Amino acid sequence: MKKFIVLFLAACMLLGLAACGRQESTSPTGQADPNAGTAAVDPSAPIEFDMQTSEEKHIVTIGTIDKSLFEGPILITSFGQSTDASTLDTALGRVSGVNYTYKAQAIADEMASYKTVIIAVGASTKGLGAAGIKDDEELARAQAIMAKLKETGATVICAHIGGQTRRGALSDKLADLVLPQAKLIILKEDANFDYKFTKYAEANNLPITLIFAAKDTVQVMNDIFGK
Amino acid sequence: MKKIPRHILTACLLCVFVAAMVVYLGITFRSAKEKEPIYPGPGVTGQEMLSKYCPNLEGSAGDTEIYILDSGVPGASMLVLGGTHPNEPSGYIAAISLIETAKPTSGILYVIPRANASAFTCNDPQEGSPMRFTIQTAGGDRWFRFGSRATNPIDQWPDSEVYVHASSGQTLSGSEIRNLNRAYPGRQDGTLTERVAYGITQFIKEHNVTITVDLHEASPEYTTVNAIVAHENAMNLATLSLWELEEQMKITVEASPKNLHGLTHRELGDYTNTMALLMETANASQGRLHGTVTPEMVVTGEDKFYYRAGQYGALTVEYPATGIGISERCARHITALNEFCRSYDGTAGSIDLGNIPSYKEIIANGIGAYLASPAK
Repeated sequence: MKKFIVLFLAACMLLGLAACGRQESTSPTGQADPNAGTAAVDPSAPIEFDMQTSEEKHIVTIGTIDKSLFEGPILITSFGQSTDASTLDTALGRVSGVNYTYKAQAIADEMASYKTVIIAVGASTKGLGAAGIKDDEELARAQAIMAKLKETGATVICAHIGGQTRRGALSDKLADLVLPQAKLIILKEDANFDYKFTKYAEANNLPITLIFAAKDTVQVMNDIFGK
Repeated sequence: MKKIPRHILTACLLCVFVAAMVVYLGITFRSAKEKEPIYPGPGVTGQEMLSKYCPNLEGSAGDTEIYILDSGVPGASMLVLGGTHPNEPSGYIAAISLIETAKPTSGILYVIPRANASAFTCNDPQEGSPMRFTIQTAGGDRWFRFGSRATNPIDQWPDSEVYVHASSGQTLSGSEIRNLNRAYPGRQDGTLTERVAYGITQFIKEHNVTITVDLHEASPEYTTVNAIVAHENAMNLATLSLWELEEQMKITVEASPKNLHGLTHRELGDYTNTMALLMETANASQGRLHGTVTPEMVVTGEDKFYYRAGQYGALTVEYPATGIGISERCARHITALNEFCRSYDGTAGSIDLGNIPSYKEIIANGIGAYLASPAK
């Protein structure tokens, strides 16, 4: 009996060393219904709502934009450390003859140097993490900047160009800080699934430019800042 | 004749059996050193070894081929790194496809298909991964190795308790010492992995490579997937490319973290003049939620557990029941590489990869249609 146990243990050790089983693994409970249980909401799943932009009409502006408000020097900064500020940098960089500064983590004390500030609103946990910034710190920086801009009277553009996936609690908090001082909203329209931005613009008689894709920011920047 | 006691006979038989298993497994393990054939196509004008740029690599398991596709027309240059992690197959299959089919019409394309050549010679322990997989081409099946994320421990051993990244002092777990994508910019007299990283960094410096793209894959539940990761000096290029790519696929741009060291998209951008980019596609065989990883699963991406995870909203990508196949993953890489070249408008001149198949064509025809047929 002892020999059989020894042989059995030796065989177990050998098979354990090989550890390359190819047998199809099966769940003890069988195939679960993927629709059962508490399915989470996929933030990237499309939400049906009436969009004014389309493949055929990429840019729609509601209201009148007063271009004379948007004087230099211009600053692009980020509230939320997503790559949307960098997208605006690329877009404005393609408009000839515009001098501007791009600083994703600008601070309140720098605001006195600018007459127009474009704020890319949209929180990215990856962006904040990569920059080593906590949510509270980003909110505090945003509040300080908005307070300073109230003092300086600079023109503010609220740019939410990250689309639906950029919406979220922190993004909405940041947007709510910027909107009261904004003179123009630029919005990638799929982020407007609850009509938050168009309703705000309508209620406050604020011009809003809706775009279909992030690359439309080039045309929008050209329309606003182009000579 | 004296009878051999039964317990000694049993012990002898067990020893013979174990010895036979050791020999068999040893031969199987060593067979991973056989390289999958690569058939240089009409665009290849030269070939070098990485040891030219780090002589300490010569004769080592880390030395690897660099394929040169020089259009003859002056312009910008691009270096494509495949096989930084040889358990991320779409990276090196896309790189091999370029070697075998691309013919640039301006600028120079450099391709290192097996950046960590040593890591192709083993698997990750306890993963039960297949050693090889096959892709069907017009002229028959081609085989490729499915390797490890890290340098073979036979070539670089032992791991330290804590890996201290040489140039930054960053500390990581000890096994990361064999991860090529934590070793940049590398050291001429460092570990094998650091020497490979050093060779690649030196190559970029000597050739003043305009754009460097490191091709990777990631778990479908990982946050940075279906993404381009860009060093700040390549962010404009990534954004311009994204605008065009978005019309064909869901893809995002992520900024390279400044506080995470050793990676291509951080160190190559910091230590050389190249525009450093990294790409990630969704590979189920790498994740933590998959079932058995078979050679077929590596190619088709089909996995019922990932499909279910997708239904529960646990993934960062849409995961269909039919899987995310290697053709789609390679199509992402190849289309993005082509778009980086098209979007580049810097002072180095233009780079045109020539008649590269479109995203839709690669998915419709399969990546095998853009690989050479195996030699008879």
